[in-house]
Amino acid sequence: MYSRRLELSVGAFVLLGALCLAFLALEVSGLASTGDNGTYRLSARFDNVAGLTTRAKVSAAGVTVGRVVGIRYDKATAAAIVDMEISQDFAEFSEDTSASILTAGLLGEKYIGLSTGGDPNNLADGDMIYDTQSAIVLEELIGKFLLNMSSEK
Amino acid sequence: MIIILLSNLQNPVEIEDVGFRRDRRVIYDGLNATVPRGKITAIVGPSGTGKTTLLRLIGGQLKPESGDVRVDGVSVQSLKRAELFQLRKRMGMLFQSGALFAELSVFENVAFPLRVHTDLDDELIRLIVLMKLEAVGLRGAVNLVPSELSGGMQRRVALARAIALDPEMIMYDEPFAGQDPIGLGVLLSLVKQLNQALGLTSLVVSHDLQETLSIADHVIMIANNRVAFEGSPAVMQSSNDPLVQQFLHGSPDGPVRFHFPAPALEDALS
Amino acid sequence: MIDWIAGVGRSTLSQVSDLGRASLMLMQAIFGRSNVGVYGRLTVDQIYAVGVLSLSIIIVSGLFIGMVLGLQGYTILTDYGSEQALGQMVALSLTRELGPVVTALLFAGRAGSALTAEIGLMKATEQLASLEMIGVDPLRRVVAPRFWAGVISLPILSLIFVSVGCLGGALVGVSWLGVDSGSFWANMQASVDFFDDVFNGMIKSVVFAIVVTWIAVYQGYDLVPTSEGIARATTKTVVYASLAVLGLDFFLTAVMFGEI
Repeated sequence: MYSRRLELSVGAFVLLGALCLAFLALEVSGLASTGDNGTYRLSARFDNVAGLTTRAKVSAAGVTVGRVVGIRYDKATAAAIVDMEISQDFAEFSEDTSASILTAGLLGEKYIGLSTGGDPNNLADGDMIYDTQSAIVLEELIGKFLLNMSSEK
Repeated sequence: MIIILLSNLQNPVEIEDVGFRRDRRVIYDGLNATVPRGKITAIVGPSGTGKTTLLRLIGGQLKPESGDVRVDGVSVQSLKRAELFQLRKRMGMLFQSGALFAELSVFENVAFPLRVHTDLDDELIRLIVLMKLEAVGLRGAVNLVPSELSGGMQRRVALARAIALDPEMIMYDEPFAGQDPIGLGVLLSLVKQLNQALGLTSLVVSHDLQETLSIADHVIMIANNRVAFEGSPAVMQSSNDPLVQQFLHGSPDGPVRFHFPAPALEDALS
Repeated sequence: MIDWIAGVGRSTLSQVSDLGRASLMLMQAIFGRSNVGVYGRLTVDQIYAVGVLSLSIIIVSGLFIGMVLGLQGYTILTDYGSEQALGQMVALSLTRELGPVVTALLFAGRAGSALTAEIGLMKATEQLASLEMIGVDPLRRVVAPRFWAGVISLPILSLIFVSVGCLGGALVGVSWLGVDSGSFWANMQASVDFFDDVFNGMIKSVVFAIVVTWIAVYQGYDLVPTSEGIARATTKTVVYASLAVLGLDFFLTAVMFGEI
C-alpha cells in the first residue's frame, strides 16, 4: 500500500540524484570556476599550432581564463589564427600581451598561455595578439638537437 | 420493433455464425448460441474446445474472424475501446485463478472497481465492500492480503469484486476447478444464490459436469468447433446424440477417439 | 537451403511485427488519456521499486569500479610519469562511458528483469485480463507507470554511480597511492566539461533508460503466460536490453564524441 515511508524514500532518492548532479557540476567538471559574466573575443596569430584543438583552455599565470573557440588558416600570411573567448572577469590584458602554445606535462594536452606585458592600454574585444610563440614540434626539436650534435663534432 | 426489443430482453447474449482461429487452428466454425436472461447458462465440452474463448469473445477481449457476437443487441467486435470499457462495467468476470491484485488487500481488491468507476466517498465504498464480502461470507477477511487466503477463498473474494459494480451479467471461468468438495459446494451455492438474489444472467464454463448441470437452467455444449447441443439439462440427459452421451458418461471411446489420429499400427511397426 | 532462406524471411517478419507491436504498446501506454493524480502516485510507487531498491547495487558497483579505475590508471600513468592525470582519466571514463553504460546494464539485470517478471506474473495470473474486464486499461494502469519510473530512475542512478565512482577513484588514488589531492581534483576539473561530458553522459543515460524499460515492459506484456514463458522473457529482457545498450552506446559515442 501507499505509505509515507515510500514517499519519503522516493523523495530522498530524487534529492540524492540532484546532489550528485551538483557534485558532478561543481567538483568534477569545475563548472563554477569559469564564471558566467560573459566573454570577449581575442585572436592570436601563430606560425604553427600543431596539436592545439578547439576547446583547449587559455590560461594566464596558471589560471584558466578562457577557451579556444576556433582555429583557422590565414592564406595571406600563411599562418594560423586562433580565436579565444576570454571571460569578462579577466579583462585586463595589456596590448603587448604575448601568447604561447604550451603543453601540460610531457604528453599532456596543448593549451595557450597568456602573459601580460607593461603597456597601459588593454586589449579589447576582437583584438589580435601578434607576439606569439608557436607550438613546439617534437620532430623539429629532435632534428635541431641532432644537427647541433653533428656540428659540434 | 417491440418484438425485437422483447427478444433482446430475453437473450442478452446472441452468438451468430461465429468463426475463430488461433494460430491457424480452427476453434469455431459457424458457432450459434444464445444466453437467456436471468438464468444460469452452463458452457460445457471436452478440453480444448474453446469454452473460455467464448467468454473472451463475449467480453470483447478477443474478436471473432467472422460472424457476430451481440451483447444486449450491440455487436461487441464493432465497439471502440472506450465503448467496450463502458460495456464491461455491466459485466462481471470471475477468472479461473481469481486474478486478485496481489499487492492490494482484500478490501482494496473489492473496492478497486468502485474507485476507478465511481466518485463515491470512502464511507460509502466501505459500506458496499463490506456488503459484497458479506455476501460471499468473507467479511472477516477484509484486512488480509490475497496470499493469506486459500484458493477457494480467493475465488470468493474475486466474486465479490466481480459483483461490486452490480453487473447485469457475470461470467465464471472454471469456478470449481481444483476445489475440495466443501469449497466446491460453497461456490456452487454462491453461484445459485447470486443468480437468484440479484437476478443476474450467469454464464458458467466448467469441467465439473454433474455439479454444473445441477444448478444450470440452460446448457451449451461445444464440440468439434460447433455447438453440439443447446437446451435444458433434462433434455441433454435424454439426448440420443452419441457425442453428448459419451461426454455425459465419460466413456473412453466414442465419437471423440481415445487414439490420437495416427497411421495404422502395422504400418508404423513394420 | 530454400528452407533456410524461408526461415530467415519468417524470423525477419516476426521481428518486424514484434517491433510494431512494441511500438503500438508504448504509444497506447504513454499517449492515452489518464488521470494524472492516480497515475502519478502509481509512478512514485514504481520509482521506489525500480529506483530506490536498485540503489545499493549501484552504489557498491560504482564504488568498486571507481576504485579499480584508480588502481589501474595509476599503474599505467606512472609509467609515463603523469599520475597527476589520474583524476582526469577516472572522471572522463566514468562520465562518458562507464557511468551510463554500466548503470544501464545493472539496471537491466536488477530492475528490468524484475519488471518483466512482475508484469508477466500479472498476465499469467490473469490480473491483466481481469483489469480489462473491470474496464481499466492495463497499458495505462500497469505499463505506463513502470515505463515512466524506469525512464526517471535510470538517469538518477547513473548520476549517483558516476559520483560514487569519482569518490572511489579519489579514495584509491589520493588516500592510498598518494597522488596529490589538489592536482587530482584540479586536473579532473580542467579536463571534464559539464556539457560535453556530464551532460552528454546524461543524454546517453536517458536514451538507455527509454530502451531498457521499453524492452522490459514489452517482454513482460507480450510473453506466453506460463512459468516457462516468464523465465524465457526475463532472460530475453536482460539479453536484448544489454545488447541494445552496448550497440546504442557505440552510435551515441560516435555522434557525440566522434568528430572534433
